[in-house]
Amino acid sequence: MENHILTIITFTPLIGAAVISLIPSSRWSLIRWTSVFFTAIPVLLSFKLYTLFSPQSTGLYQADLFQFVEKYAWISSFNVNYYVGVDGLSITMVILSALVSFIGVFASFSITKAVKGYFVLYLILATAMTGVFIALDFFLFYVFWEVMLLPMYFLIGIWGGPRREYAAIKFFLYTLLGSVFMLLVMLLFYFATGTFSLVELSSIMVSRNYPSYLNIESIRIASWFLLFIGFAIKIPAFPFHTWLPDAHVEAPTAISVILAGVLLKMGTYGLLRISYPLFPDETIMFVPLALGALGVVNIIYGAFVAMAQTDLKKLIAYSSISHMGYVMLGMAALNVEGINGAVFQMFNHGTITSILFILVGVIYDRAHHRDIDGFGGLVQLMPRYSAFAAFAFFAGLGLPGLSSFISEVLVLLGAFKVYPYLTAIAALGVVLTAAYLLWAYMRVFFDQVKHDEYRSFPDINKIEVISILPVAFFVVLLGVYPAPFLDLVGPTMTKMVEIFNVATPITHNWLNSISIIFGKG
Amino acid sequence: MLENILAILPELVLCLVAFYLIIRSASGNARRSTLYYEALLGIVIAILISLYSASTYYQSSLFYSVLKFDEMAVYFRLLYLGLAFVVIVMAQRSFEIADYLFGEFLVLIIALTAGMSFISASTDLLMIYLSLEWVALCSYLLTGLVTGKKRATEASIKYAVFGGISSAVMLFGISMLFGASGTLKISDIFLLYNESMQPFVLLAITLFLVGISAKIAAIPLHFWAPDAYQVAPVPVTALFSVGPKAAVLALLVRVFYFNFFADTNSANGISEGIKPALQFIFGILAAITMTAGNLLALKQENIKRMMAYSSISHAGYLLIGIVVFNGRGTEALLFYLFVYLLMNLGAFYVINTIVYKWKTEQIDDLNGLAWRGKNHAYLAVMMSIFLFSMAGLPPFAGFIGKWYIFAAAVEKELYWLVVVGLINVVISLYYYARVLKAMFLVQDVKPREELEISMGDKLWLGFFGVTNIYFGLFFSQFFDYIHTLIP
Amino acid sequence: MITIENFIWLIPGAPLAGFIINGFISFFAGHNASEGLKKFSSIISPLLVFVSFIVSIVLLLKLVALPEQERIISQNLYTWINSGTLHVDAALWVDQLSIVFILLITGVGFLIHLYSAAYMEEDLSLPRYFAYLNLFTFSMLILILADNILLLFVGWEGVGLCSYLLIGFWHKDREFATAGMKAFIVNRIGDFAFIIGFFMLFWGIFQYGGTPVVDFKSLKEIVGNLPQWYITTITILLFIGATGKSAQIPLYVWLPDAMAGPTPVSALIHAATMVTAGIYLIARLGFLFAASPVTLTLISIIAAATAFFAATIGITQFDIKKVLAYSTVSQLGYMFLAMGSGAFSAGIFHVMTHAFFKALLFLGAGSVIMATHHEQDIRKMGGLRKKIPVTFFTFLIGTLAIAGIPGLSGFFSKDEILWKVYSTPNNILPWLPHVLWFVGVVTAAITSFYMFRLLFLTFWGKYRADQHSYEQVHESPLSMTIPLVVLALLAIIGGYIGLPGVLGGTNILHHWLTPVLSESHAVLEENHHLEILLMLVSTSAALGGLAAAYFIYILKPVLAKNIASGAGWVHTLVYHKYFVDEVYGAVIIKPVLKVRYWLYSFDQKIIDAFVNFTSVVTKVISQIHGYFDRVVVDGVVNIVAMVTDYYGNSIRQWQNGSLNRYLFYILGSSLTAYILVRIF
Repeated sequence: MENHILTIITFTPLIGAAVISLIPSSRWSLIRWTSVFFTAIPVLLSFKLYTLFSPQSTGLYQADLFQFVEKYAWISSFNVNYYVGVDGLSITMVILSALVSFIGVFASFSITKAVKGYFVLYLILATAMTGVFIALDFFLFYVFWEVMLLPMYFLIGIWGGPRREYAAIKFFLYTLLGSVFMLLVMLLFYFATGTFSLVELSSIMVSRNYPSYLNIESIRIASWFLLFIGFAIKIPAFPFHTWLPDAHVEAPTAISVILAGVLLKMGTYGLLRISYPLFPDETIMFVPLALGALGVVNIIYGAFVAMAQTDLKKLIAYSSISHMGYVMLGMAALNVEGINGAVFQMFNHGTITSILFILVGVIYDRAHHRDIDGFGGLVQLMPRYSAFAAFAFFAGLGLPGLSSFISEVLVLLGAFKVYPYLTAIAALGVVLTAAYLLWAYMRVFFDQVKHDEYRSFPDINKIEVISILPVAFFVVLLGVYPAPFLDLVGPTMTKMVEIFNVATPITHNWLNSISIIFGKG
Repeated sequence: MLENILAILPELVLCLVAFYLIIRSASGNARRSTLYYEALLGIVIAILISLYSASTYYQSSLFYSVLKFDEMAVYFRLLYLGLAFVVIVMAQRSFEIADYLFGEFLVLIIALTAGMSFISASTDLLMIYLSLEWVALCSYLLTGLVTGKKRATEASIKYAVFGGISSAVMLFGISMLFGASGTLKISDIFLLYNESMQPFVLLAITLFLVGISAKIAAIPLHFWAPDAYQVAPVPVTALFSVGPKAAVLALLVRVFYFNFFADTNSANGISEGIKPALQFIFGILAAITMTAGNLLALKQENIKRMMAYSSISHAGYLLIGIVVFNGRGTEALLFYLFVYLLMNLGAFYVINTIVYKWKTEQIDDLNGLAWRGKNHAYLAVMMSIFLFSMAGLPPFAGFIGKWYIFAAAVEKELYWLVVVGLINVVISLYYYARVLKAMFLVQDVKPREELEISMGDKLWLGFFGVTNIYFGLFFSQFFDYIHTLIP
Repeated sequence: MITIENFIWLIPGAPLAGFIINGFISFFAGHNASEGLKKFSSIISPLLVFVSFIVSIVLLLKLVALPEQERIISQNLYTWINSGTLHVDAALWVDQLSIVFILLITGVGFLIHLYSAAYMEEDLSLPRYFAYLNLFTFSMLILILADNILLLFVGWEGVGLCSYLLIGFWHKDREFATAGMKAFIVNRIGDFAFIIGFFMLFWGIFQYGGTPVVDFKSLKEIVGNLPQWYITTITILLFIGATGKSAQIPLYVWLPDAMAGPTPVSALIHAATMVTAGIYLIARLGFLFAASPVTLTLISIIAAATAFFAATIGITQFDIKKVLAYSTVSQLGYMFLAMGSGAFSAGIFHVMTHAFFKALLFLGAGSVIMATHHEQDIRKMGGLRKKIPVTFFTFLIGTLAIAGIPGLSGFFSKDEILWKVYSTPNNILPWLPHVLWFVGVVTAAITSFYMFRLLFLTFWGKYRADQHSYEQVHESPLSMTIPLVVLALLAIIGGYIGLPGVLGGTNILHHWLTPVLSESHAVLEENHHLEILLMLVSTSAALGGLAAAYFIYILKPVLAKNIASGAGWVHTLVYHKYFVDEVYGAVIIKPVLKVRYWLYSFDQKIIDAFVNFTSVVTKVISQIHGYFDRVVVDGVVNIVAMVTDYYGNSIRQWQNGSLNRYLFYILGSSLTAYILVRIF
């Protein structure tokens, strides 16, 4: 049991898919509750995982410091293994994806078209995305990464909104284009080192004595960018982000939840798991621009564009572009505060945005539109719903006492040490975020009731509440008492930072430039 | 002598079956189904013989060493036999092949099969030429087999003329080789080689290549293919898109990897000298073929024509396996051909089933296929597996095929080729996804008559579907087997 | 072992419990809580605030018992954030400074809770109201009790949230909702500066060879290492944060609008407690601010300006609450003036007295508003003193206090400030203290003028609305008048805790606070005659204001309009609050709204367009290929067909027709290939 817990967590949904495919397609509720069951098991197991996990297993480039490792030969001729395990970094993502796919099921209860097919695909998706986070073999990682696209294409394309066909194919091609080049990098590494194990590769690269042609810097740089593009598209980083609004808006609620809650994290996770340890020098060289600057652009740009939206769901889509900017910025800092904050922000964004999308889905199911100005006075009609919405919105704008505050502070704090000016600009995002979220909230929930037919709307129902509470709980808990999380990732990230031993503080120049402004009193 | 006869027994059996069927169908009162089962029986026998006896003749070179049924040749022979089997199964339920033509059709298919397995076994220039022509003749006939279609005649004419000319060019090359070296044995040519031959050899090789690339419809010599594919009955198209390609590629492997670049021959100097050139040509050829093939496929409305172009692009990927001129590349090639067979036959099987009832080949006519009830949904799901496999996405066999191919190229540090290949993966997904879109995403269902899908069809499709997934996940043993085929 | 140290958490804990209880009630009851529930929550939440008040009293006694230098009681609840160099405890910290604020918040807070119970009685979502009010009390207490900057920031933002929620409490009215939003966003701008300041402090310490810390105790010891220009930068940033919370120029604009909230809220949040958070911040970080004369000078200039301008606006307003709002801004100006002059204790003193009389005034205003059926325009009032005597008398006391009439609390605090301002030398701008003092005095005069104007217009003369509603006017219930009376008493006696030495007192508060406040140790010129003199001047200023108001609004009521019209553009300028809102709208909000559209269209028309463009290009290329293909392939075929038709089925002919073409392609490609081979 303990030895195979990761495999069980990952593949239980797949079994669920198999089971469901045997259920007659007319038995909707049976299908639904089966999938609830098969996604609940991973949640429970992932908490067992948490209790069994010792934060001291800091993984990264030390094979013996991974926990729950399973390793079976898969492709003998290429030395590819089914090699899974968790360290402080991946366990959080495993928990997150288990959690999000669980609540996503409840958010899917409103699906009425081809229910059976939907849940089969949904569960396959759940397996694929959990797999990405446990894989320690590059090949395995890639397989999970790509497999996840297939169900996603259908889930958006079949159950999506009016422009679903466009959104689906755009998502499919765009993300595929990003990821195929991973294949090339993977093979480059294999023929230089003879292994696909990310752990071995990391330990080789971290030691800085590069084998064969990996010694050529241009090859390393090229590979770094090939990987980066793939991950940047997933995050999505600024110029590569346009698939996200379409996909999020067209996708059905639960899929938006998965997209925002888990998929976006794969980009940043990939960077941390692969690019960082495999290209330490290139990372130091490029993160200031590729993650730092772009991250800030994400934050500000995303916030501004979100402010311009009239579609509530699109607003939240852009807001998650903005929030992922914090993750990028924190990762760019390359210091413990920053990267801890980044990982924490990954988790928090996962939980909070899930709630936001579920809430949008709730109102969409009732009003069948998402036009921000088309509502008004919902507080009077649906007080409880509005209460949850207020909670989520304030969590979104990083209110102290809720989890995202801590992650954002950590990110900004860490980043400020290295890029003070950039961070100062990024911090403006705090104001902008408040502006667009509160403005949207006012237009939707306050003011007079515009449409009397909305008076008949039922308030948020039990299923919807159930789908929100589990994650909401984490938003509050980790806001008041983040220790469980920070202690989990802390050691691993500390070790991660040591890879880059950023001993020389890059802070001199800016201090001087301030001192020029004020004169050395 | 007896040994030689026994070695080619499977081909002999095929020929006998062919003659037998000619007589049967000439007598005119044979029922379609009986012919069908007799043909299948013949093929099964051939397979059994091959499985039983092949291993004993691996080393022996036959008929004054014009043929050699070594491991690779046998592998290909089995590939062709399997192909022929499935094609005949498909043909049985293809409306395009009228009953009175069914006999001829079977004859041609079986003859073609025999021819192909001779191609991949021949070690002698003359034998190569003969067997190629053998296959070519059958192909022309099969293309034009369906009367009543205006384009059919045109296409087969075009095919015939073009094929003829390309063979002529190749023959010219061959004759030059012969003139230069005084022998037709591939293995000897390069042994007898001396400096004075160089210009001849180069030109000869070039012409030979041109002829060959016309046969595998490598762009820019692919003109005949799309039309031929489109007009030919679906089973024939299925056959064309795999069989002759495989044979010719096997030939290339034999000529270049086994002999020309074999370390044993004295031509090492020159061979090493022009290796980069050849690699370059093959590389360009591969790149252009896959890219142009994919781009041309994008715009196609007719699914068979789309499949034609897609098969051209696959020929491009396969050529990468040649380019590297080494064991890994050849293994990759053999593996890719196998999985390509699986996914391609699967896709064509679906198309055949649809065309049989709906008499349409337009992609748009697949609209909402998945929403027309259980059977149709099954069809659609299977089709999507095959399409994903062809696009080369995990966890399907096609992915592993491409994976090995690209691995070989990366090992040879042909990065640009890999990049082109990867981009092509994305492009190809675009038109494969068009079919998916039609089947799943489009849901305005115009009333159509129910497709009839027998248990047999379901099983066949299931078989292809399962194998496509199985070889996408547990391909290690099979690959190790292929590894043993290469000396 | 049960000592009071282990029960500090009760102070914020009790209101938090209140929030949770009321929160649940309102969540499940929705907008129409049953009478029973409403009764319950209107009892439970004042009660819980009272609990923390009691605990605070006990703490006070405990502190008094301790020797002067170690008057510190702290409780570390748990480690909040621990990541890399950042280590933050959730620790509560009570010393001489925080105890004052706690007592204010819980004490005045309790009275206002009590008052609210009656004032909000009819409101259907009363539990929600009390939930917010409790949450506010909780956040405010966290803000005060926090032993480190980050935890303080939690309270800082928390009060902002509650302010948002309570201003927008009557959210049906778009204006009210907007006001709440405005408050929060404007505060966020301040918080932005605050957080940057915090980052600079944190890493600055690291930069100058210390280990970064966040708790005030260690900060106090470590900031010595920081160079002054650096401290200046930090303190200015923090001060900007303070201007947000405490409604100083340039971020004061939200406070007047905040009057949209229920009146008790205005009393509690926008007069007595929250708005003084900025003062507390500066006092708490006194060791930092005192080290930067530049910042202090800046503070006092801005403070004086705020005090003056707000006061002038106060003259022209007719909404009873708006008048009080601007007076609040102006009074806050006084407090910052004190801070700017390094006279922290004087500032705190004024915070305290102001809490008493301003809360009193607001609650009085609330009582008036209720009496006149939610009428807020003083032009529609008048002669109410007979109708609502209690309200009247208490309001009168409040007015006297704020106007700085000798004997009442306002007088003492204001005079201490003015004296300190005058007597504290400024090394950067030597002439500044006297200017500031003068502005202060003038403002005092204006203050008493507009306050008495308010008083007279409301309670004197005759009722200016219809007679019928005049009959309806009624005194408020006990639960509202009792707090009024209590606060009135405090407003009278509250000043004597800081009775200056010159009047024979021993400024108790000052001595109490001195150990914790690192006031700038500028030598105060011990000149009692001067101090008396200044006192007289300011007193006469206050009386002058009173007299002027009496003359204009009692003796010659017509005069008011004439002056207003006489003043012309000056009046319009002042009446429209110097058009500050309009300016901000034009300078900040408009551009932002523009930018968002630009960026969005950029997103759609450039970036996304490019993405689609690539696919279009691919298609186009494929079309070209296709065209080529068709021409070549079909072209050949058609020729074949044509020729065939023409010559009949003669093989020779059509082969001629096509052969050339085929040969061309084949030989062409062979040639190229061959050339390629030769090249290599």
